[in-house]
Amino acid sequence: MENKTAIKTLNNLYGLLIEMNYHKEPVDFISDIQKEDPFISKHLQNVLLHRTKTKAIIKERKYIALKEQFNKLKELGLEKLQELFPPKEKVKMARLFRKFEELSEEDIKDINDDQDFLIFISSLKDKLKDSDDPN
Amino acid sequence: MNIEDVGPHLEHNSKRLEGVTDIEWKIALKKAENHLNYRLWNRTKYGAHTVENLGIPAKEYYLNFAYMSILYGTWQWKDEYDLTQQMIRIIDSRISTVVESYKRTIKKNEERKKEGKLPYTISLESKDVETIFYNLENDISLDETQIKEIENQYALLEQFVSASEDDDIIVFWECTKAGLTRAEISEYIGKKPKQIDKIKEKFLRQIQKEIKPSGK
Repeated sequence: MENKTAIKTLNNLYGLLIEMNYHKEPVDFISDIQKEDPFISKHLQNVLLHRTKTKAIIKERKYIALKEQFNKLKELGLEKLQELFPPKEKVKMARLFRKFEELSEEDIKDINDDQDFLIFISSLKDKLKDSDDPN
Repeated sequence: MNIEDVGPHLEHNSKRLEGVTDIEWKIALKKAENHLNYRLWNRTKYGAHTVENLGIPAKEYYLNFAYMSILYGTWQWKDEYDLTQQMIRIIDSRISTVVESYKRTIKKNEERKKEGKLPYTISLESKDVETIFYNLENDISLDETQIKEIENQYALLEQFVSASEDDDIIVFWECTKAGLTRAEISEYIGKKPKQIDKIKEKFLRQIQKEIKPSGK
């Protein structure tokens, strides 16, 4: 019986500590994290390392997706793509169409950060989808 | 599960992580570490959370699992939770999964023993202290060393509280024995939950020498 009381009470205590820790405000941890703590420092370094890795993975995935889109659009040919836009818009987009025509697969890495061009590619894709959709 | 595998929530989580500073990470890691210290109390010497079963110390294993799951998007960082809350949810879920899988292996090993076959993992002995702490009503006997350890801790705490002349400490301990939650203690004592947290800090500070959380 005594065993049960000891186990139950200590279990209650740790349950309570878990609950209180959960509700503790971030600002109340400031003094804790200012102390030298090799365990936390080690894990923070690990977090930052893997954050860098995941950012690189995201960039790579974006590049692969863009390359696929680009190749599909290239296959359709410039003329067909230009037909999707009304003449006024086509004139406005002349610069981007020219860039699209001159671009090779090897150049895609460089346009990964070119927001205007990425939006343009995405709009080509959308227009194409709309024209394929009978509704 | 291989943690290095990229999950379906990679982009979503990464977008949210853009706003997280190093200080916020440190706080989240510290809070999750505290959670694990309390959660793994007396649970790392035998059973599911041993180095033999997990390969590395339990605290390292669960903390690493939580942040890697968010970083690599194998778990979705839900909008309604902050970083620490999400990490703690992942930790608790993983603990349950590990315990369940451990229990299954124990059961299978017992069946294999009956059939005269060798157990799957030799280190998995039936000293499942987990069962007691996850379900207090379970009437399973602990070995003598474990019982002695628990009784010693309990006796030290009782001794410390009896010698104390601080009403806060005495009432806090009585509430703990009664199994009251933070909100219930707050209502019972007539103080705000934040004030109860201060009493807890005082309690812990004073008994620091008697209680050392396991899982380190």
